[in-house]
Amino acid sequence: MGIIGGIWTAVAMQPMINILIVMSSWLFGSFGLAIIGLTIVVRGLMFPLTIKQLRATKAMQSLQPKIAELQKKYGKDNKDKLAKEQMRLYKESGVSPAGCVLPMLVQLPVWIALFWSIMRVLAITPEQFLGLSQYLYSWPVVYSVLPLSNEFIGLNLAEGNILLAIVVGCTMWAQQKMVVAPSADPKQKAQSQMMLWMMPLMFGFLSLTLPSGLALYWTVSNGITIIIQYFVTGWGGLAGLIARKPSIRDKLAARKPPVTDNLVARKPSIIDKLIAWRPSIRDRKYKERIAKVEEAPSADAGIAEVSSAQEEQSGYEEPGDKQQDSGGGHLARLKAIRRQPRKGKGHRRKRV
Amino acid sequence: MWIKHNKVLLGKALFLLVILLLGGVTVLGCLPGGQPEGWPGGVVADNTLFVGSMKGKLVALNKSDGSRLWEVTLETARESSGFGCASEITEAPIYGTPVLDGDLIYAGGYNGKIYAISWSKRAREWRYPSGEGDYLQPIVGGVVVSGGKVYFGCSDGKVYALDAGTGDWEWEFQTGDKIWSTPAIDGNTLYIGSFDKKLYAIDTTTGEEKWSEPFETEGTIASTLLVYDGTVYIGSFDRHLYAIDATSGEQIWQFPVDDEAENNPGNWFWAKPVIYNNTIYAGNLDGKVYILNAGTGAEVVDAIDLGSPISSSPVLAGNSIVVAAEGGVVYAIDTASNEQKRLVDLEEKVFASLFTSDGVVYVHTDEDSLYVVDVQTGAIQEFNIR
Repeated sequence: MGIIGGIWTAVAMQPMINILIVMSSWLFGSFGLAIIGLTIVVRGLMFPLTIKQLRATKAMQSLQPKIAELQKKYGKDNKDKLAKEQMRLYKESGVSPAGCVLPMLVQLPVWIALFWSIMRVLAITPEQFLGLSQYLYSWPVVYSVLPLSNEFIGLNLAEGNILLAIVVGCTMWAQQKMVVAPSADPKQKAQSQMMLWMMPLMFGFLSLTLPSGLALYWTVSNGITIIIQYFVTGWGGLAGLIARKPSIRDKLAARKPPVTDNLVARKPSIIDKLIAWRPSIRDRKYKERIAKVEEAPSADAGIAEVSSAQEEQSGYEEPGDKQQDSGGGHLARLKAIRRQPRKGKGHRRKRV
Repeated sequence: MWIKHNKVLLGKALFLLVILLLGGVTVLGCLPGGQPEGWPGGVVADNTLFVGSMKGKLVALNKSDGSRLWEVTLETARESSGFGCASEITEAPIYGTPVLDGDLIYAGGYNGKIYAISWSKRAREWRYPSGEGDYLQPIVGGVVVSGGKVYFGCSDGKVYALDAGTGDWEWEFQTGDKIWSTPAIDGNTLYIGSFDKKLYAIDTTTGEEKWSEPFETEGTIASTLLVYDGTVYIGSFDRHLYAIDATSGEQIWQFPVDDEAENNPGNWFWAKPVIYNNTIYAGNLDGKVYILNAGTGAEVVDAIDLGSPISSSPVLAGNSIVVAAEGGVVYAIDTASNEQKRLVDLEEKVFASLFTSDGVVYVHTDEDSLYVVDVQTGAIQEFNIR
């Protein structure tokens, strides 16, 4: 074992393995609970870095339209200018592309150590079990609890499990879907799509073929990532799937009414009726005219002249009033007036 | 400059992450312990060596020159699925040392079957369970043949007794957890340790427990035990070596006595101890050989540090205890002076139990080579059993 290997073992693997065994002892001797517990603890410790990474990713995504504009503007011909402009954009926005990658790279060794620790403690083959002995501290609790039971809620953590493999694939897909940003760039879009499907399929396959203790770790880890992502960036690409399914009524309201809708009259509401009752200006003119006629002293009087001012001042007449007026021959006279044909094209008959 | 190609870099970083994860996972099969391979020892009869290979074969070699006489594959090996790097997967890895009794050689497979191979017919005589698709849990410990019966422990926690000639089931005894230990027979009593941290004494005739209650340690017992002069010596994962009265099951002594002492064993006792001239030689996975008084458990001399874990059971050859450290260095400890002599560095890992004949020691390495080491000179000869 080289120096790097020795450091890796002493700093990462040994502490993780022994903590895993101790946690198993605390958690009713359940290795499954220990995997869940340690995954939560490690992800909790990595939380600030995860947040930093997610925020940086989100900020980068928000700049994508502007970057696309820059690319469109400068194209392939002026790459130096494009780079300068992008750099300026990042600087002005306070976004660093390294912010997306570095936290991930810092977390990577921890995840790998956790992965390998689980693998080591599972110790499926005699060779692995023998190898485990070289990672153990001299704590009594460590040697008294070994070997750990691989049974967990009906699962054998040492064998692949199709159900957990599906769960890993689904959670991985959901997690990927949440971070995939819509992109106008076809190349980037294709890459995102490939990642969206490749990762879940690969991890699902691995979960099927490797001990399900690892699948349990991936499931819990994915679940935690989804929760953190939700609080930092929202549902992201999952929003469309999680949004309320529109009702038939919503769909009908959204679509443009076909011509036939105009032909089929719907049953009018009370408001519709009230609106319908509201007389038009023309109606009001008629009513005022009717009133004038009724007020006129002479029954044979012609059409009284109504000034435009009077027309404007005239108020709205309630429908009930109409009924009150409808007793005499005034209305009949009005009708007679209305039926009189106009003389001249578009000109009012001169009133005397 | 890399900001210039930030998108490319991010994409590459993401791919790198995926490849690292997947690559790391994919090579699991290539790493030590990713696939069970076995660490079988061997046995010598007349001029023939019988050794289990790491490809699930029982190989007979000419003792003089190492030429291959014949070989029998316990189960047909299948091709690898391509996942990982193993070219083919051994169907029946052998961990225990094969045992010879008359014309039959017995070996247990990690696939959960016991095989009896006829020396004269050079073919399988019987296997248990006999059905094509019937398997027990993995068999890691070795088998013992005594009084016409074959005894072995299984990962299902049971001790089985079979008819040595036919492979018919005789009796079985259930313990509380897996058994990886090789049983030991003394008279009509079988002793075996279990992962349930207990040592059992079982009547070989009836399969009934002999002690009023099993002897319990604080750690798993996976090591092969030693029975000598009415005492059972056994190491445990609790970092103690115990001497137990074979008749009553009462503890005679334990080493170390003081759990807080500075030079206590630092790891598990995995290998079978060796006794010679009232002295116990017990290898530990901390890389030391502890030399104790068999009667009292007191250290005769300070432990000898070999610098690498000792998982291979040592062997007595002439006046020397020959020990192979896991790293491949073979030592001889003089039983008179208790001083060690470095014989040879094989530069290959050693897990299998050593076996001896006529002043030489046979060491089976993880590269599936069988080395013949001269105890006096350290000269080696390599026999290929791949």
